Order: sequence, then C-alpha cells, then structure tokens
Amino acid sequence: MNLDQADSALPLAATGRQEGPTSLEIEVTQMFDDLRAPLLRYLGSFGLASQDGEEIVQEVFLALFLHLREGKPRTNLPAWIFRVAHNLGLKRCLANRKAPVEQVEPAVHVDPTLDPEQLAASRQRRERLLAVVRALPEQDRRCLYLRAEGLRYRDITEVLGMSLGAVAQSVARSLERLNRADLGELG
Amino acid sequence: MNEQHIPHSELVASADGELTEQREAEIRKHLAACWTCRTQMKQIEDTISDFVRAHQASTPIASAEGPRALLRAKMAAVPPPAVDWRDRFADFMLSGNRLAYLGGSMAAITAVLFVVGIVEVSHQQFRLRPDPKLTPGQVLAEDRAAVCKQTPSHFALPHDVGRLVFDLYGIDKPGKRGYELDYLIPPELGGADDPKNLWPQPYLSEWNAHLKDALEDQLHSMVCRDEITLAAAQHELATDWIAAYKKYFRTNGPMQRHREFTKDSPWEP
Repeated sequence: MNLDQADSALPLAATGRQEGPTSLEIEVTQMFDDLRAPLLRYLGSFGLASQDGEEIVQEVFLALFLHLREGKPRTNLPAWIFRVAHNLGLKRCLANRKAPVEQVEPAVHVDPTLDPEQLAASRQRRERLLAVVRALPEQDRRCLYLRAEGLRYRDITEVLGMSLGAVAQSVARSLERLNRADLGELG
Repeated sequence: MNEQHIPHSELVASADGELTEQREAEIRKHLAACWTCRTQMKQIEDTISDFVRAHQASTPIASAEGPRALLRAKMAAVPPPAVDWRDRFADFMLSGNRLAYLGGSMAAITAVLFVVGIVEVSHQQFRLRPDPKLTPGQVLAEDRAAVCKQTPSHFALPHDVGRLVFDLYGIDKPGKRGYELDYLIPPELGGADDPKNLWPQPYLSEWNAHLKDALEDQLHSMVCRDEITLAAAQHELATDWIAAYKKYFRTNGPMQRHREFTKDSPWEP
C-alpha cells in the first residue's frame, strides 16, 4: 500500500503520485500478460534478438496506454497491438541493418519423456517443419506466424494490409507445404 | 455418397472457422460421408499442431515479471494528458510500411515515446533526493513490532529491478561503485520492494548514500525505542531525507563519522 494511505495526516512529497495503478494501467498490464509471449514469438520471427523484442513490446504497450487514455477506438485491440509491433519490428530490423527474413537458428528444447530414437525423430520433424517455414515467401510466413498466435484472418488483414482472400490463400498455401513436408515429400 | 471432394484451401478455412455457416454445414455433412476428405482434414489439424509446437519450442520466453514491472513504472511515470503530440505519434505508429523507409527517424520516435518518462529526468545523474514522481516511497509494513524484529542489513534486489530503476532515472551507464540502489524507505522500516521505493543514490556527492544509510539506522533505533512512530519515520524519509538527517542528528551538515558508514553495497552494473 501507499504511504499516504498509511497516514493521511502526513502527505508525502507534494508532487509524487500517491494512488496505486489506475484501472487503465491494470487493463493494459492484463493485455501485456496475455500478449507478451505471442508478440515476442512474432518479433522473433523477424530475426530480432530477444532484447530487441522485449524493448519493442514495451514500446507497443506504452503506445497502447496512450492510445486508450486519449479515448481512441477500442475495436479489435489485438490486431492494433500486432500492427504496431509489426511496424516497430520492421523499423528495428532496418535500424539494425539486418534483413528481417533472416532467422536465428532456434535452441533445441528436449522433451524428457522421449527416448533417444523418438527424440531424434521428433527433432528431425521439428527441424523439417521450421525449415519449410523459413523457405516460405515472407508474406506467407508472416501470415502463418500471426495465425499461429491466434489472430483471425480479419485481424491479419489489418496487421499486414492484405485482403481477406489473400490471407486465406496464403494460410492454405503454407499449410499445404507444411503438410507435404510432414508426409516426407519434401526435405 | 458425395463425389465432389472439398478443396484443400476450403478445408483449411473450415478448420479456421472462416466460412459462412451455410458452407460450414455443407462441409460437415460431406466430411461425415467422405473418409478421404476427413483424412485430409486430420492431416491439416496434425500439421497445425506440429507447427505450433515447433514454433513455440523454438522461441523460449523469459519470465514476464521484470518486463511487467518496467511497463507499470513507465505508465505510472507518464504525466496527465495535456499535449497533442500523442495524436500525431499514434497515427505515425499506424502508418504501415511507410515506417520501413523512415529508419533515420528511429531515434526521434524512441525519444518521443520516452520523452515523458526519461528525458524529463535526464539531468538527474547526481540528484541528492529522489524524483518524487518516480520514487514517491512505498511501504509494505506498518507494524512496529514486526519491523523491530528486523536488524538493519543489506537486502539484495534482482538485477533487472535495478536496471529498471536506473533506466527510469535516465542513467545508462551507472559505472562501478558510483551509486547505491537505495530504498527510499528501507525494508527494516517497512519499505516495499517496489520501483516506487527505489532510486539510484550517488556516492560522489556531499549528501551521499553513506549518510542516508546512517540515518536509516538511526531512525530504526528510534522507532524501536519508541522515540518516534514508524509512520513518522517513513514519512520523513519519503519527504526529504536530508532534512530528516539534519533534524535527527541535530546537525547542519554531514557528520564526519558517517562519511564511511556502510550498510548497503554499491550497485554493480
């Protein structure tokens, strides 16, 4: 609790903000809790380091805080959030003078319940799938990652500025390629 | 039996719930009859779950605790709305790929974002008292008995909390042994582990961290000897620790015997 609540007869330093978080701050924090991991994964797909991702996520939610405080539209906030993150991610890639298509080779997380043979098969399968995703055209890859993070086609149109039909085709095309890879027809 | 199989793209759209209800019903009916299309649908679902698992496993996510605290502190540090640059800023943030060609203005945007939280405090490198907006003081305990069970000692804080506080004060490179990450109200006087109760206190100033450590020790003793109330001690520290030092040590300047007084360790960047 805050000091002034402890003793209201003794107010603290005159200019200090005394109250706890506002309802808007709590709301933005809840959205941050829900969307931070999806955003970090999406930004990771730009090839950005996790520190860059964290910084961008901070910028996004501070911008969201200001956006909502100004009474601006609340329609489809997840799409708004991903759109701002997408734009900041592109900018960060440019600032780092790094092509956004380049992806860091992911670390392997081992499932302890698998025996060595299963482990090798699972790893191979995973690597095959991720290799297919990395080889997809940039726009298709972005659509797929956004869909994987729970955005509907309509949301994706807002983030990437594509038509609904183009998003549907892109997701179907990517899944077909992944499907073929999964069946061992590729890679 | 339905001869016409469902195209792959339509099965994907159906799996994603993107079709009209009428078309969805037709597809359900077809799938009930057609094992070929059902097999294909199953493959689509399997591929989706395999991809999602691989994707999630490839990006480990660190704990949200530090970043969440940083965001909360930044939001709390934003002053009430008055200026109109935010409209332009939000529009600019939403201007799509246009941004991609504005790499040169990156620094300017970042500056705008943090102008309120950081630029305002960028000249605070050697401030003697904390910024009341950033560090108004926050208490956890008001119970004198509980507080007096504790002896004044050094409390280690997570490193990311420390970095957050230095960030908020606009101190990029604190350097070694330059600052103490100081509790405005120390834990042994009921102070909270919260950025609102923490500030970078310099050693290289006349009124420095050694003196404040000595004051904290003195106030803890006085509270536990019942010479002042805990609330008064907390209030004095949060309001103006230098005035409190002068008052409780009955002096107008720093005392020689406190110049080397050490309770907390310097911040190690």
